[in-house]
Formats: sequence, C-alpha cells, structure tokens
Amino acid sequence: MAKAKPEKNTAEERSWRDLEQKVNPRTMSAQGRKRFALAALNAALIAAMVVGAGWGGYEILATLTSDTASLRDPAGAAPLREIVVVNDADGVLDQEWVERTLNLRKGTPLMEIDLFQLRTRLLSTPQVKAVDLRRDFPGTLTVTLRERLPVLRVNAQDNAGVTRTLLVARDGVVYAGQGYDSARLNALPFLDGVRLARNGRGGFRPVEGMEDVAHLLQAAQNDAPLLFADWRVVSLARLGLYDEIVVKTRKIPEIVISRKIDFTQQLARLDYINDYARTQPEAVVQRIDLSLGGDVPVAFDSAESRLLSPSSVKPSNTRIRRDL
Amino acid sequence: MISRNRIIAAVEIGTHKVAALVGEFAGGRRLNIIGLGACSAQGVVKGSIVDMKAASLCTHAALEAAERKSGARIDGIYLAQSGAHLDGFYHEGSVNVSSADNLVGRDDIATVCELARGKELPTERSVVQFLRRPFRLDGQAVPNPESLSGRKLEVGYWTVHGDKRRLSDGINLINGFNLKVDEIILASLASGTMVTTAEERRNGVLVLDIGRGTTDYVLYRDGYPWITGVVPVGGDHLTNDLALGLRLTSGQAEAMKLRHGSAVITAKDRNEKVWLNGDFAIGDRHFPRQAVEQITAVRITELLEVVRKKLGPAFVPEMLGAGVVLTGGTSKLMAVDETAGAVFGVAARRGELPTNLADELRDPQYSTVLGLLFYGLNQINERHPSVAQRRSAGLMERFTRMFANA
Repeated sequence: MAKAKPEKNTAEERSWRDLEQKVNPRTMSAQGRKRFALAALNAALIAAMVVGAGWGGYEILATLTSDTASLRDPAGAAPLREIVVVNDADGVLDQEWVERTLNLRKGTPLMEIDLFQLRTRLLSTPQVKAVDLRRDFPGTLTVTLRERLPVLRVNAQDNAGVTRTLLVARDGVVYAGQGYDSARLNALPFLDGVRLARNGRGGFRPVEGMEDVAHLLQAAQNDAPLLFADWRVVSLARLGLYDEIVVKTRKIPEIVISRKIDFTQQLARLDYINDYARTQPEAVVQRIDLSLGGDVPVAFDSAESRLLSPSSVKPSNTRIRRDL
Repeated sequence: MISRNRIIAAVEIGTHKVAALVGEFAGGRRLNIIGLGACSAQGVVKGSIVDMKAASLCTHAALEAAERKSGARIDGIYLAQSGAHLDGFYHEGSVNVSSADNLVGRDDIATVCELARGKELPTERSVVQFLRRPFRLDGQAVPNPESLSGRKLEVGYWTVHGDKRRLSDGINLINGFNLKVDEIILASLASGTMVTTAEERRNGVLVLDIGRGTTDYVLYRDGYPWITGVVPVGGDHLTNDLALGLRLTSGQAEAMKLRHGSAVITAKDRNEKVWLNGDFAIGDRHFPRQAVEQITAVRITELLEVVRKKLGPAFVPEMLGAGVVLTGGTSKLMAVDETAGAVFGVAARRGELPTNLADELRDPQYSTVLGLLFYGLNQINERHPSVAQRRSAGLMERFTRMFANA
C-alpha cells in the first residue's frame, strides 16, 4: 500500500507558486487561442531548427571523427571495374597497352586512384602526346589518348651503340614507335642531314623544322601519292641555311624543294617533269631543283645529256633562264 | 536568473478597470515602459473575479492592446493581488547564535527565517507574500546581521495569504492568454513603492490605495512593510450611497460623485444647489450641495476609520513621520487628504507619481501597475545583485567610460 504523502501545512511550504498553472481551453478567449496557436507554431519552428542544426552538427562531427578514407571515397568504396580507352582514329595504342602501362588492379576504389600519377606514367611514353583521365562513377576509368603520328624514320644509335630505327613525329619528337603496322612504317622515308642530340633522359631532342617537312609530306601523300611512294630519304641538311628540303627517290638522287614556295605548286611541277622524263627513255634524271620557282633546272647523268629547256617548263621567266 | 531584455506585463484586474502595462527589463537593472493597455473591468466585484468569461474577455483585450502598442511579445506577467480574501498574520522566530565566537553565520540567518515563516496556515489558503521585518540581534534592529556579534537573533514576517481558489482564478485567467504568472504582488505594496520614497518609508508612512471596490493599505515602518490589508470598501460605496440617498441611477450617482463629491462639507448654505447634468435638458435635476457632500464625506470618513480600526495597535501616529499617502482612483475626491489627516491625526497628502512618466500614466489609477514593474525590478536586483553589478560594468560600458574620461 502506498504511503500517504504528508500534507503541507506551514506557510513556507504553501506558496501560491504551488498552484498549477495550465492553459484551460474554457478560460481562453479568441485572443488567447490565437496567441496559443502562434506560440505553438513558433515552438515547432524553433524545434525544427534545433533538430536540423543538431543533425547537421552530428553529421559533420561524425564525418570529421571517422576514418578519413570515407572522405576520399564518399561514393561508398566504388571499385574500379573497367578501363575504357578512347583513342584517335590514327592511334595504335590499344586497351591492352594502356592496362599494362597503368598497372591497376580491378577492384581498387575509384577515389583512391591517383590520376596525376597515372597521367605521368602514360606520358612517359613519347608516342603519347596528351592524356585525359576521368572517373566515371560507379566504376569506370576513362582514358582518352592523343598519339604522335610518325612522319619519318631515322636510324640512330642508342647508348649501347646499337643502331635502331626510330620514328620522327610532326612536332620533331624522336621516339621508338610501338604497335604500328610494318607496311605503314616501311612506307615512311628516312630522315637525313640532321645531327640528333641526346636529351639526357635516354632519348633525343626534338628535330627542328619538322613542321615544314610534315607539311610537305602531307601534301605529297595527298596530291601526288605515286611520287611519294618513291621517296626514300628526306634530308634537312640545307634547311637551316637555304630553306631547302632535299628528297631522294628511288629514281632521282636529288630533288630540291624550297619551304618558301607553296609545296603543292612545287609538287605539280615535279609531277610534270617526271611525266616528261618518262617520255625520254634515254634521259636519266640526276637532280631536279624546284626551289627557283617557275624555272626548274633538271640535271641528267650522261655526257650527251642535255639540259631540259627551261622554256619547256615555263618559258616566260627570262631572268632564271639567263642564270642557267 | 533573469534574461536580458525580458518583456514583462504588469496586470491589475480591478473592480473599475483592467490595466496592463508592458515593461522591458533591460539587463535586469533598467526598466523601459513600452506599452499600456486598459479596458473597463467586467465580472469583477470587490477585487474578486465572479464571472470568469467576462473577466477573461476584458483582461485579454487589455493584454492584447498592450502587446500591440509595445510591439513586443510578452514573456511573463506580474499580477497585482487584491480582494477581501487576503489576510495576514505576524509570526517571528528566534535562534541562539550557533558559533562559538558568537558571530552570526548564514546558517543562523537561514534557520531563523525558516522558523519565522514556519507557522501553520489555515486550510485552503496559500501564501501570497512574506514581508520580512528587520532582524534583531540581542534586541537591537539591524538590517543585515551576518558576521555581527551577538547571542540571540530574531526576525519576524508579516505573512500575507489568500484563498486558493481566488488566487487560482487570477492565475487561470492569465493562463488563458497563454502566459504564465511570474510574480503575484500585493496591490498595496506596488502602489506604496510608487508613491513613497525610501526615506518616507524609513520615517514611517501609511499608504492607502482607494479603488472602486477595495481599499488596499500598507503601513511602512523603519523602511519595511509592517502591515498590509484590504478593506472591501471603495469608491463604489460612495456611489451607491449617493444613488440611494438621492434616488439616482448608478451612472448618475457616479457622475455626481466625480463632479460634486467631497470628503469634507464645504457648503455652508443649505440652499446651494448642484445640477445633475448641468445641461438644463429634460430630466436634469438639482440637489442640495450640502447633501451630496455630506453623503460622500461621511462615507469616506467611515472608510478611513475602518482602515484605522483594522490597523489596531500597529498604528502609532508618532511613528508615522511621513504621514498618510493616498492613491487610487477615489483619492481624486475633493479634500480627501484633509479628511485622512483628521481621521489619522497625522499629515496626509495625495501620492504623486514620478514626473519622468508619460502624462497618460501620471494618474493615480495607474500607480499599482507602475508599482508592480518597479517593485519587480527591485526584487530582481535584491535577488540577483551580481547580475546588476556585472551588467553595469559591461565591456562596452567600460570602453565608453574610458573614452569619456579621456
């Protein structure tokens, strides 16, 4: 049986403050009800704000105090499932080469992959000109490559003294190509007339003037593919001093092309002279100089050989004829 | 601890009107009065609520008006308490100082206060306020006995208590506006704080707050409220007697009282007449001035004598250096101070409110609500002196002083 609570009797124990203060709907007026509703709304808003602030604070605290790996991997340990390689149409480096070079294990959390390091690793191969690496959640690493395209071949000795055939790109970079079709490489002329300088990292410094050579070869491939097929050596020996590119073909030992004159015009003249020479079976062409513009001196090899009349090429240019 | 800028409304639910005065307690040490709402009282007779619905409507209307005028949301209520249900008694306690060196300690003070407040209350009564009288150490009055040397410590309390139901009615009425009552303060104490100075209270003064339904009084001695009480007689009795004696309606009698009522008989000529309305329209009548003054003077004298009788032996004219101070709506009756002086045998005057108040508030009928706020402020400072001290020396204030001195 519950013990009866002793009744308060003394004055000190019986203050008006002990009287219950409660909101009685019967004593509420319209103003009181309005005030009550506003107070309830206010309290609800404050409670919502306090709860929201508390929850936000808790989340921040929990994030800061938990394993920092979760910060690196907010997607919840999304593992690497696939590497997608996007390459140029002319590119030859394939998925296998990329995966081998990156050396990434499948299942590695995507956020833990160091993209900068991987990019450096890919760019250490000179054949790769530019790389873009992108995480595509939930589990894909997309590698977009831009490769250097070979313009010429060059024979060079490595540090061990072994002669190797390297490739020269349009920007002059000399590199050991990989993945190319051998027929494609065999069709490239050799570079000559330059002295390759080592760059101290086991490679060579870029060859200067290759931009013009690339333009010439591009024009030859597009406008005169039959002529280009005979080109064997492209020499840059006279490029620095005379702005001349010397091409050696299977039949003609020396064709001089100026980089100051439109390559298409020079190739057209070369084609014309070539056609003409074919009609002269006894004539063996030794040298064609296209660097003089409309007048094209052509040298033949025998004693009875004669100069091809300049007028037959372009008779109107008298000044060049006198020089000849 | 009181928070900074707490908004308090002082509410007086009187027989004539309900007044709500909103004050802002800035930092617990400064009071700004920021709004007043008043409404004619309904459902209140002789200071007691007799119709809760009607009383709620007018009280809540006054509170809403005050809140709207102040532009602030009220945090709490100081409620004036009056009514015939209030009563009081004196009880004292004494202890022998416990320490060997006879120095009074805090424990001694707490014990003697507890003893003095420990008297049993009648059933269905609750304490409204404990009013402490000065401590006496070996028979000598001291304001603060702590650390003083003595053998016997005594203190007495005037305990004011009221009927639980009547007190609950007032509290429930405020709760109906979705507010809590923070303090219940005797109406007489509130008025007394407002119309007397500390020096007058030290010299001894009797404050009479004569309202329409009740007369609240407080007798101060040595700076302490000595005795309080309520007489359920007020201005309404004058009005009723005029209505009966002159055969008038209540409204007419009220108008007659306000216009021609007097606490002394001034008319020498029995044929001197006063007009009821003064507009000489149909229904306007005249009455002998002497008759009007006689009724009001006799009634007000009776009322004052009742108060004197209730004070009993506590009323010693020699100990009322500051005399009698009258306030409340009925104190505006002509020559009431003269009559009070005659009845009590001491100097009497009408209470005046501070001149720095707005003109609207400088009416004796607002002395209670004003007093509630000031009394509340004093209580806070007494209870939390550290708050006031700390706030008074705030960082900004120190900076301001520094620059001012420079």
